[in-house]
This record gives sequence, structure tokens and C-alpha cells, in this order.
Amino acid sequence: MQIYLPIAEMSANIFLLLGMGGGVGILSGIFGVGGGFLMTPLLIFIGVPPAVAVATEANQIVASSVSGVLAHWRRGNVDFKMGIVLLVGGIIGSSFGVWLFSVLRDLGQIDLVISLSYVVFLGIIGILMAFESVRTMLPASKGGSSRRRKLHQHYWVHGLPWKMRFRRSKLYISALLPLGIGVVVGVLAAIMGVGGGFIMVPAMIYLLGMPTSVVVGTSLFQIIFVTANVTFLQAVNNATVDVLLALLLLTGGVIGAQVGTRLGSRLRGEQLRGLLALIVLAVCGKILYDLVGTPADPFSIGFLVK
Amino acid sequence: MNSLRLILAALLLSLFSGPVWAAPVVADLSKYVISIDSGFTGTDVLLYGAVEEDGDLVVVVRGPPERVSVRRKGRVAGIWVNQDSIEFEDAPSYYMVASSRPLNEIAHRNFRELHQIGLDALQLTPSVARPEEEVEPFRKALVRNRMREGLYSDSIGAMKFLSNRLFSTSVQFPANVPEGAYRAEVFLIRDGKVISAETTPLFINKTGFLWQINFYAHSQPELYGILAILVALFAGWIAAIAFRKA
Repeated sequence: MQIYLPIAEMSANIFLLLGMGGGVGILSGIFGVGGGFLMTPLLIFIGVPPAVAVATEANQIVASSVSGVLAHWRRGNVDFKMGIVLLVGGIIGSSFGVWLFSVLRDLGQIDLVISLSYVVFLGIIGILMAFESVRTMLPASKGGSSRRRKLHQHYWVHGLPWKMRFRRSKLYISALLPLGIGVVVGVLAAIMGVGGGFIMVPAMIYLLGMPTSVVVGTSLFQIIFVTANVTFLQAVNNATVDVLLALLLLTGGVIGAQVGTRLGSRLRGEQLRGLLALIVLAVCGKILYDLVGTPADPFSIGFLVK
Repeated sequence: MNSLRLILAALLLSLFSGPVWAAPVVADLSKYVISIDSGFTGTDVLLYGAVEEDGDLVVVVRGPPERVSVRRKGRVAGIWVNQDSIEFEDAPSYYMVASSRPLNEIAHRNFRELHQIGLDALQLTPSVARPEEEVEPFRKALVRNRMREGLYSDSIGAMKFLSNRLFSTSVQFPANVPEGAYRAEVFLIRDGKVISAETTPLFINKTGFLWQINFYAHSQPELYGILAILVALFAGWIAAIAFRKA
């Protein structure tokens, strides 16, 4: 059954869209990732204009983050103070990102920047995850790995001003650090059409030193507002948010996420991570191939100046 | 079957109405309005008519003009990057031409350029003047890309004739057809001159809630953005409740 998408201005199979939402939802449920970094490239692969894919995916992530954060909130796994500092950075970054998006689009380079961002970030994350899962799958023979980790390690970042106490995260650090992370992830969220959890979560663990229990809930909390900001600004500046497409994707997505969560609890962690690494690297490889391979027609029709 | 009935209707119409009988060519469309609704996957419209004099028939259907930029990729450090671009004013958003014979046998190119008959005779003027040899590949690329999208087409011999006087051709609109005011023109050409021409308007519009979504997205973007967020917040909340109970 075909359905006409009013903003993307194309006809697509309704079951394909629901299936994509469901499939990415299952993966996000299994791995605890948002799935934006898989959905946006998939939408572009099926012919949705990149500008519409990015803006619409931001809208969908609002919904999936809300349903995710409620579960974490009930368990008290959200550091609201940290979330708000990250959020301030996120709003600044995503507002700048949407502006940058419009500028790049007018220059005719937005597709390139979207693709390059995906290749770089998916490549780095995929390789890191692949290494980690291979290392954990190998027999844990290498001695000396049981070095005790200190509660806090002190780097130069601890000398930054505006120190703040984050009780739930058990941290006393400069507010500039989460603010900066928020800005960077906000820019990426706007340009790549992702929530940014896949960058935020490692940054919170390794750069901020937050306890892993509060990381996912706090990152989801701030993603809601950052993607809402992206949705609003994309709608106002570029009119590229397709609510019908977003609704179809999120319908499949929320159901898939529940299935995925149940599946995930039955599978083994390191194999899961290896599987996710393969998926991430496959998407990365496809985008890279499209950038490097000789196009069938070097000419294309750009954005229409109405 | 349907087309046959329409042609018969056209025949009857031309038999019984005096003034129309006098025109060398009469033509009409099976529809004047195409509605893009949620199930829209493209549509065909039948153009039919009667011709009273000898000559070649050419049908041209044209969509609203728009400004289009055509970009050319080049290789930079192994990656294909958009490098050069030319903007064209007033490129038709849709263009279809059908004729009974190859167009260059019917009329000279200069003549066709005057009436914009034929994909090689479209008046595509760059918004910034550039040397002709630089513009030409971009112009060809625009036509080629639009043909690939199904928005430009030329079909020779797609004109059906019933006896010598009645004709019909099918005009195909793909799912990605742009909205707006279209024009279907029928030319009767003899010895390189237009003997008679007839123009029929055609409108393509989104309807129902698709129209509303599109209308609000462009006319009330702030409200649209806020509603999109509220819908997403509500959907996420509903999902969280539904699956907690389950």
C-alpha cells in the first residue's frame, strides 16, 4: 500500500516505512541506542530528500526519547542538573547547526557534509566497538588487566573555572565541560538528524566520568529538548519536517523498541556489541562507497529556489 | 474503453456544435483537476480531440515554471563534490511533448524554439550570463535528470488516430509531480507554420489533510513546528504507558 508523504513529496510503501521503524526500533531496544544514525541514512537510501530525512528524524527522536526517559526517570536514573547544563550547550549547538545546515544547503554542499559526518562518526564508533567486542570475546588471559580504576582521574580539564556540584553523578567539575559536549553534540544532531546519544554516552563516561547508571537516562533527557529544538528550527527555517513520515516511523519504532528490549535481555553483551559494530560499519561503508564511487551522472538538480 | 467513449463524445460534440466545427483543431482533457491525496501514486490523463485540416499534430503539456540549480560534481581528493552550478530561470517543472512524427521533420528548430516545442527547444536561460559552451552541458543535464525523474518526456508516435480526424494521447504524471497550474497545448502545424492551436488548463493540487499539512508547514511554520513536537511528545508518552501496562 502506497502512501503519499506531503513534505517529502513522494510516494512510499507504508509497510516499508513501518518496517524500517520497527527494524531500527528493535536494534535501538537491543542496544539502547536512539537509532537516528541508522534511520536517517536508510531514509536517504529509499529516496527521501536528505534535508527532509534529517529534520523528520529529529521529530521522531523526540517521541522515542520521551518513551525511553520515562522508564529511566522512574528508576531515578536521570541527573537533571547535569542534563540541564548539557541542554544549554545542546540548544546553542543545535541552533547553530540548523543555521549551518541552511547555509550549506544554499552552497550545494549539505549532502556532502551529511555524508562525511556519517562516514567519520560511524567509522570511528564502529571500529572502536568492533575492537572492544573482539577483545572481550578473546579468552581473558592477558594478566594485569585487573588494575583498579580510581574513582576520579585528574586531567587538565579539572582546572577549568565555574565548578559545579552534580550530586547524582557524584561529580564536582567545571560546568564548561558538559556545556562544551552539549554544543558539539547539538551541532551534530542538527546536521546529521540524530539524537547524538552514540557520541554523548561515551563522552559522558570517558570525558566527564559519570557513573554508567545515570548516563543513558540523562542523555535521553537532554536529547528530547535538543531534538525538539531542531524540529522547531528546521520547521521554521526550512519547512522540512514531514509529520506523516515521522508518525509512521515512530509507530513502528516504539513497538520495535519493546521487542528489542526483551530480545536484548536474552542475548550476550559482547556478541551484541559485535553485531552492532558490523551494522554501523556496513552503513558507514555504503555511504563512503557513494562518496568515492563514480556517480552515474555527475550532474544533479539542486535545491529549488522557490 | 473509457478513451473510446471520450473520443465518441468529442465526435458528437464536434458534430452538433457549430462554432467548434469551424476550428481546424479541437482538443480536451479527460480531467482538469488532479488531486494529490494520501494514496496518490501518479496518474494518467487522456488528451483527445478532432482535427479538420491536414498537417502534423503536436501536443505539449507544461507545468509551472521554477528556478532550478543544476550542479556538477568533480573529484576532490578521491571524493565526488559539487563544484560548479548554473541556475536556470523559468525551467518548466513538468514538460511532455507528443507528436505523430519526429519533431525535426515537422518544423525547423528555430520555429520550435519560438513555441518551445521539443526537449531540445526549451528556453532555459541561466540567471547569470555564461558562455554558451559552458551552459549547454548543464542544460542537457537538467533535461536528462528530469527525464529520469519522469517529469520530462517526449514520445514520438504516441499519438493515436481514429480515422484521420480523431486523435488521442495519454499524458502521464508520476507520483513526484509538482503542484500548480499546467497547460496542455495542441498545435496543428503545416509547412512549418502553426495553422491552429488550442490550450487547455489543468490543475494539480494536494487535497485533504495532505494539503493541510503542506499548507501549515509553509504558512504557519512556527505553529507547525510546535504541533510536530507536541504530537511526538504525546506519542512517546502514550507508548511508555501502553507498554508499562503490557
